[in-house]
Amino acid sequence: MKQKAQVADIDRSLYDFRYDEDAADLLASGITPEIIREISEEKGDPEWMRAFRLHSLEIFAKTEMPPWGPPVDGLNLDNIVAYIRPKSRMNTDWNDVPENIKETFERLGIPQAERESLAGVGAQYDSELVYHNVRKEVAESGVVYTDLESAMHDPRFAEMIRTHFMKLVPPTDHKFAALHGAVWSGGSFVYVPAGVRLEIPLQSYFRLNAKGAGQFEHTLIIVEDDAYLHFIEGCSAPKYYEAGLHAGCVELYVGKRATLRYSTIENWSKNMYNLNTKRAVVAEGGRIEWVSGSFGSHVSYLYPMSILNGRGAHAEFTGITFAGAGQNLDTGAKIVHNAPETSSHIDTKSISKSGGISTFRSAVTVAEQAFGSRSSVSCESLMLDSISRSDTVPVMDIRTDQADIGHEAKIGRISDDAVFYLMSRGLDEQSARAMIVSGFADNVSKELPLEYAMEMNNLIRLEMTGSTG
Amino acid sequence: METKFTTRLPVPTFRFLGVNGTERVLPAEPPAPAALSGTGIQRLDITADAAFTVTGGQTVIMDIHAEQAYLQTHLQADANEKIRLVQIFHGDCVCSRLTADLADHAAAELVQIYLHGTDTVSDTEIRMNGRKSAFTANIGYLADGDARLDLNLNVIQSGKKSVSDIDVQGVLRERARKIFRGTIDFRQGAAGASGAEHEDVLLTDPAVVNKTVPVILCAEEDVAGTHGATAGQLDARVIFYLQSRGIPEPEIRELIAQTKLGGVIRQIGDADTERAVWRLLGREDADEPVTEE
Repeated sequence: MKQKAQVADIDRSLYDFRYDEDAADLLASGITPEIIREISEEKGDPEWMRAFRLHSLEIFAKTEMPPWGPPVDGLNLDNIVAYIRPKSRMNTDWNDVPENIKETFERLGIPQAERESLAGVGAQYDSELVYHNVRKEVAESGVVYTDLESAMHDPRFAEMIRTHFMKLVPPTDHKFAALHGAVWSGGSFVYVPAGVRLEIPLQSYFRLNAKGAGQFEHTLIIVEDDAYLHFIEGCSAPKYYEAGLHAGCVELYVGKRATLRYSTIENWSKNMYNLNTKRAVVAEGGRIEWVSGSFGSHVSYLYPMSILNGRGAHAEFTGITFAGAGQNLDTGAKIVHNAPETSSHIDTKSISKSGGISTFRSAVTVAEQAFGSRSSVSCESLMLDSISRSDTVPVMDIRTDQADIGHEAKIGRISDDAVFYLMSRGLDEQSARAMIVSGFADNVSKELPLEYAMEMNNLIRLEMTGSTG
Repeated sequence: METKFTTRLPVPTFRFLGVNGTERVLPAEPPAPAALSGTGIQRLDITADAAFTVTGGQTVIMDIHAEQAYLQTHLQADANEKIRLVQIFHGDCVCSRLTADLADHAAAELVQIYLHGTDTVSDTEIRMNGRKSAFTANIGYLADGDARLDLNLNVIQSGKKSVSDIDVQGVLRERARKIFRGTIDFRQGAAGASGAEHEDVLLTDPAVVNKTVPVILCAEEDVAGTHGATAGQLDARVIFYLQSRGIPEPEIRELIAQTKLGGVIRQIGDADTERAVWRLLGREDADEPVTEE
């Protein structure tokens, strides 16, 4: 009789350590005008931002929860702490970061990555950036990489922030965009001047330590014409029994003939609701490349959107989602072809295991004026047992005859023949299955820098075998 | 008494796409279903509201050409039985609901052709509860003018080793708007099941709107499911080649559209009906035999 390898629970000790919060650091839970004013006061917002927050709150109150997607019943917004006061101001010297925060990021490998492979690093702990640094030669090239609040108060960038902030993702977009507009805090601002090619990546890492809290960072990136940037985003949190909320927002502006690669390895703990919104607008001849690994969180709604507004603009989305026990991960991508001769490619893989639910959801729309456009979508799903679930819900909406659009999807299981072959070469069944799953995910791992590809493969190995050894 | 006719995507998605469902208000409820039984071929000419229950062992060909009609059809294929249903839609405003229950080793073959309707909504649910039950669908459409065509097909595979195969070929012209939602739903317990779905759409005019929603839902490990969809324009090289052979472009466009639907028409399997469909497509040579009898 056929027997399956037992898969152990995941050892998440790498991510599950935590430090207690001082109650005085926390604002009262809930989302009210008083709390919004208090956040605005704490942060010294300019008047336009204070008004924007309050307007967003009004929209939030009027907007219904989405009637599709995974249930979010376990999320009680009245219990969420929207803002946690920082233990220290933002630092550019690692030695000035408070000890327990420093230890957190050191255990996550952030300073080491900065030394070895990054052009700059930002580290957010709960609601605020605690560390931001960029290499001297990068700063000298004109690249700006700082926290969004500092940029908003800097006369050189204040107007730029005002004209771009939540213009791509307006608070009316959906309920959690409105919430974000009201309570956002922290996040990064990146500006790459025209013609500057930053060959080594920048990284922001978001860590939510506090129990029952929300993280609402805002990332705003402007890549001017003919420039290049690779930006990496990482996120994690320790596990609590209380629900946590991540409702961040990413807005990316890609100039003419510019390229922006945005890579994410998301590994929130499995009590988190990850209701994040990411959007890019791409000018003529520009490229946006999304590389996305979704491993953590209890519930995810994540569909990076690319709006191809310039002739010949291109979008690529390469993603993997791994849903294990207790996870309902609803991920995918949206592409809007708004200009002639635009092109896009979506390539995703999803894996469901131990009762996890993985849903691929996409929307490719081609407008009347986008003649000569091309798009291809490929999604593959792997079911590792019959208590899990895997759904694919793609939509194509085409409004011109001058377009070529293709979609293909398949769903299946690990081939017994492949397992047998690997076992005949000396692997036990568990290792054989883990190797096959790692191979299944190679569309994403080959797009990541080596260090991050290794981290992703370790996460897959953790999910498959319960150990990284 | 007015009645609402609704169709629904089994799993709703982004609202801005407008694909989650459709609703029409009809002037009356459908009549009580008439039972169709026996073997052989039954031909039905449908010009008004109608309802039927079809049991196994027969082929039913429905020619639906009402100005306005509400059609309900249920297929009941018991163990080892096979049903063929051919539906030719060429009326104006037609709402059709088709359901089917397939028992062990039962099979249903569905051929649907939609031609020139102004507002057609079709909702189909196939419940494959039986072990080794089989379902094939060949669907073709030509929508033109200001036509609205809304197709919803949901195949639920609960039976072990059940097999489904759906092929959709379509042409959109002028200002036609079409939604095709095709779902294969593998339920837990459907071990060894497989399902395939493919839609290929030819878009011939800049004002057409084509929406395609090919969904796979899966709660069983041991299944194999695929879906594919392509939408595109006439191949300029083919047009050039045929022009170089002296065929004018309007004729080439007509020829290519007819060729696209030809594969579905050939699945009808009844020469008289096939000829009638070719005539609806404007083929002057439709009286020539197109299927060996």
